Amino acid sequence: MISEELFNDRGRRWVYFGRDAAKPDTLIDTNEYLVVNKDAGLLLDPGGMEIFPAVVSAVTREIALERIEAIFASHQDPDIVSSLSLWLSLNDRLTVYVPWVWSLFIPHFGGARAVTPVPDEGMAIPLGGSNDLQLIPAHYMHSSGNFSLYDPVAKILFSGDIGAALLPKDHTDIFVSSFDRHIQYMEAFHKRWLPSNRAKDDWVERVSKLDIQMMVPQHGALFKGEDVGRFLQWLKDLKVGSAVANEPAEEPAAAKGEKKKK
Amino acid sequence: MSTLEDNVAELRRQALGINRSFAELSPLLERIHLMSFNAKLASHRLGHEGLSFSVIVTEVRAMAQELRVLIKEAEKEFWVVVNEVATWSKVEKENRMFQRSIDAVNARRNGGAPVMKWKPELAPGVARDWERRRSALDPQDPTRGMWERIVENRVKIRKNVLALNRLAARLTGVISRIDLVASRKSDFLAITSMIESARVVDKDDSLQTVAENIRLLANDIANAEEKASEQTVAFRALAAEMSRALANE
Repeated sequence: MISEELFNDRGRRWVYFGRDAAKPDTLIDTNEYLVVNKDAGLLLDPGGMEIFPAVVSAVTREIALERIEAIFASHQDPDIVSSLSLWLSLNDRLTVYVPWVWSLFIPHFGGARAVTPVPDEGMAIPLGGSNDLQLIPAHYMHSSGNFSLYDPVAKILFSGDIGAALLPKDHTDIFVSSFDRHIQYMEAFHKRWLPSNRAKDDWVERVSKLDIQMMVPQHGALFKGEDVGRFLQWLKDLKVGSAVANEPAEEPAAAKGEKKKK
Repeated sequence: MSTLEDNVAELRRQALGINRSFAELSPLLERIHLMSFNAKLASHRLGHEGLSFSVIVTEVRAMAQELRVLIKEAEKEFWVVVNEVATWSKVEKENRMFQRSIDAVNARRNGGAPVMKWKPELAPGVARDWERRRSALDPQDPTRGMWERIVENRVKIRKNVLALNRLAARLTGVISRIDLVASRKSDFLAITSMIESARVVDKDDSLQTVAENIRLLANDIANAEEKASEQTVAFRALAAEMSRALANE
């Protein structure tokens, strides 16, 4: 599993873990992230049960396990957090932040203890004495209870499944190197997994107001610099909800705007 | 040597088999209940001559009721067993994941393959071996937390196996009582109902059909019970074998 430090300044660190070469082909590739503030760690979408050994071994190189104070699960999928019981087994003092709608579902992954439900409007996550990590609502993107996490110090947006790409096995770049070429790996995913154009437009509008240097999804390559804006524009123009064959998906807001102009 | 994982899988398979046998017994008891109504009516039609048969039918119903109570008791015991097996499976899976994790950490540290060769969890002395390895670790070692869980889980597994052995013995006790009722009593009632129906055959031959039904049901009950009994014996034997392996540590 590859580890890469994304940010390290003013006591704040972001570390990426992903592209696990030893992972069986039957599992989708996932990215996991560690945010450290001072000496306290927060794991973002720590991953599924099967990749736990790879993740924990990579994480222990970056931080002592007892220094990890919290886990954030952007939504309920098994590739996001089915390893929860193992993390809790190593440290039962962990605070586990999950969207409130999933707060009684996620404990089915094991651990048998209460999690911290995140209200629909989002909240700030305290870490190492600071309280600036913001959970941004991303409901229906794709899950009905879903959050992105924004760090105003690192200017990194952890977007969960938004921006996800299903990359070929030989694709080794951690960052998107050509946005136009990258579209082929994420278009079908976004059209199918995102169910609502209204929810999509709402999220794009919300995060467009943030100062984002890097957008890091849970699958595929990471976006930085101008590619963040390119992605947001591309998503704004994309028509999603492709599985509803008999009912045309709502038009994206951008297309509606163009029609009005005409 | 069979691995803990194999044994857990085998115990789970056997537990499900016992459950299926119970599931087969319940509808048979329901059939007895329905049949006894018809038998009562037929014996009433014969008046005084049908009194003996009526007593047999009452006994058949009482037997069905007795079996129902015993099966409930067995099912209660059985669910405690299922719970223990489920806990065990969870703990065993957790240990497997921690072992893989320690391997992954060591492989990263050594820049190559994992250095540890894991013994099966039921291997003699493995608990002492793991405890020794855990104690020898540097307090700052990143695998320390995982080693602690593995050793703790091993203690849980040992307790779990011993509890399972006791539970299997209790389940076998209930099954023996079911056996007593299902095989012997149902055989006896089948035979007496055949004799009694033959005695009154010149007055009403419909009781022979009832007696034949009692015989067939008694047969089915005995078969289903025998299956449950065989599976429970196998379950108990495996639990006892594992218990012995762990008791010697």
